[in-house]
Amino acid sequence: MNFKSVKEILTAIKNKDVSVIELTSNYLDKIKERDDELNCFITLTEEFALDKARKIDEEIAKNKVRALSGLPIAQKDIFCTKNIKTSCGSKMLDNFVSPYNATVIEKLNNAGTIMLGKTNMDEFAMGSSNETSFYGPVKNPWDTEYVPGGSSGGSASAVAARISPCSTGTDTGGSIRQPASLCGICGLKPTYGRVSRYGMIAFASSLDQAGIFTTDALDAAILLKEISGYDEKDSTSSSVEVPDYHSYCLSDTNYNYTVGIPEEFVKDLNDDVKKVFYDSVKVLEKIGCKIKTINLKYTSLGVSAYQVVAPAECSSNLSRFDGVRYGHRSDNSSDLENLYRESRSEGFGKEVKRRILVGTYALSAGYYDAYYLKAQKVRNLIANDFRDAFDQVDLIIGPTTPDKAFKIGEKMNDPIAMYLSDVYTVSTNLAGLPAMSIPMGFKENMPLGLQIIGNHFDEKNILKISHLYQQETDWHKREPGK
Amino acid sequence: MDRKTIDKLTHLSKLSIPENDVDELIINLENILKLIGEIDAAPTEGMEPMAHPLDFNQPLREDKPIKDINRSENQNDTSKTKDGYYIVPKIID
Repeated sequence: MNFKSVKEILTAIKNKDVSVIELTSNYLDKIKERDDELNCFITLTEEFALDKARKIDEEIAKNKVRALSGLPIAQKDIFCTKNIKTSCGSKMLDNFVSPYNATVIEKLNNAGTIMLGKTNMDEFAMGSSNETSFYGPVKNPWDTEYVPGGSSGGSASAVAARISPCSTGTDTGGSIRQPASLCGICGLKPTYGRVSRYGMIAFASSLDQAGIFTTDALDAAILLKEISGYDEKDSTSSSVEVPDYHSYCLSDTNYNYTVGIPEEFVKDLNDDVKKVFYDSVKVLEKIGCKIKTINLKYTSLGVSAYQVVAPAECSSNLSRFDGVRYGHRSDNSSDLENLYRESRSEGFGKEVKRRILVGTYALSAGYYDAYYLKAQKVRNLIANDFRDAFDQVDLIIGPTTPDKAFKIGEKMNDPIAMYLSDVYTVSTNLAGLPAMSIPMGFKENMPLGLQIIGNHFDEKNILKISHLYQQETDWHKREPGK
Repeated sequence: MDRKTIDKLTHLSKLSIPENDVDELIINLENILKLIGEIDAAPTEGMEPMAHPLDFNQPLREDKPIKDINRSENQNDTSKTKDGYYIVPKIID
């Protein structure tokens, strides 16, 4: 059983070429075979998956087919799942079982998907390598000495290794796009507000967005439609209409895109990445795109502004973890103040504590104006940069990451080097824009990703150009070890 | 960034840092502050701060009670609760 895409799986199930129980069992076997090595999953939901698979098979026997009936999926362990552990990659939530489903989970469940398990991630989504997880690092299936990227490393690695056909992720500063790039798959971060954040454990509330990993753009189009839309339980979700992304990708509309390449995204690239990137630009020209050089002059301030805004918001969001109502509670506390301090200190890892402290500093009396308020103004500068750019071009491209994956342990003692690897992704989150990473080639046998950024709510053109690109290339079909 | 500042920050954020880790933390935080200090030079005169990337308004609903929160479902860890309350160390001597 070797399906190449979500679309193939859905067609086979609808046509009764394969039963959901067979398919689900097959993926569960693949996970058990590979996951000791890759460490993609924190929780394997085998019984839950098989039980749901049987129910979906009964529905299909009665010709009741939902949008994603029988599709196995891996869910990032940041989404609350009712009666199933949700750890957020942290000791703080190692004992947490959510009493409710996140909206993303509810939507995918209702569409007929089969949850295979909860994937490993950087602790509280803070990281770019999946090395900060309480449950150990995830490995890149292209070379297990290398990181898969983060924070959605488990989700990316599982799809790249083909032990799940698709998965969910979240992206606050690049945590879908960067691991997609390093693992050679597609990763889509929608517009801020396109997908409900209800039940998605908060890191930085004005930056976080849920998204998906797939092996190709058409699959991403299918899944995006199912998770998008206004949710009354998330006041920051948008009521902008959700198009049929898949039909749009396949439509005859031969849109001749004007695509911008920011000088700032390419000037510091090493020669290998530059060559791969400009080869992909030739493919875009071949399919009819007009290429234009543009400037996003405040790109260099993106990481600095992000490293104020995100920690500030996280210091506030993580204050809920006090050992009282849920999560880790210290046994060593003599009074309430001590309970808070010891529970938090025992429950959080180093990187999380570092970011809470930075955020607390940026928001504290005497520093708020110089740091947080200033960073919010820089955010406006960056958003204006993109507004000006989208007056000239339809889409913006560049490499997703400055280089291929790095080795496990290589940057753990250098937080600044880790933060700077997000230089091409963070600005998109600050401006709330949608963006996708698709495979564009290799450096030293490790994948590289092409990032495509669109204007607000223009996911359909990001997906269409990605689909057109994937009709001319086969990078997205390459699999590790084959 | 010095020990006094670390003490203030850990007090505000209800964290404790092992003594062995403090020196390394000070170096890390100083480097991070250098990185974020690059925004100082940004030309933001007259610029409004941007709290949210899109122009959202707070959606309102009718002022009517809706579904009750299911206390027993949400307090499913019974070791820390009694009669609907959360058990904590004694607050008042």
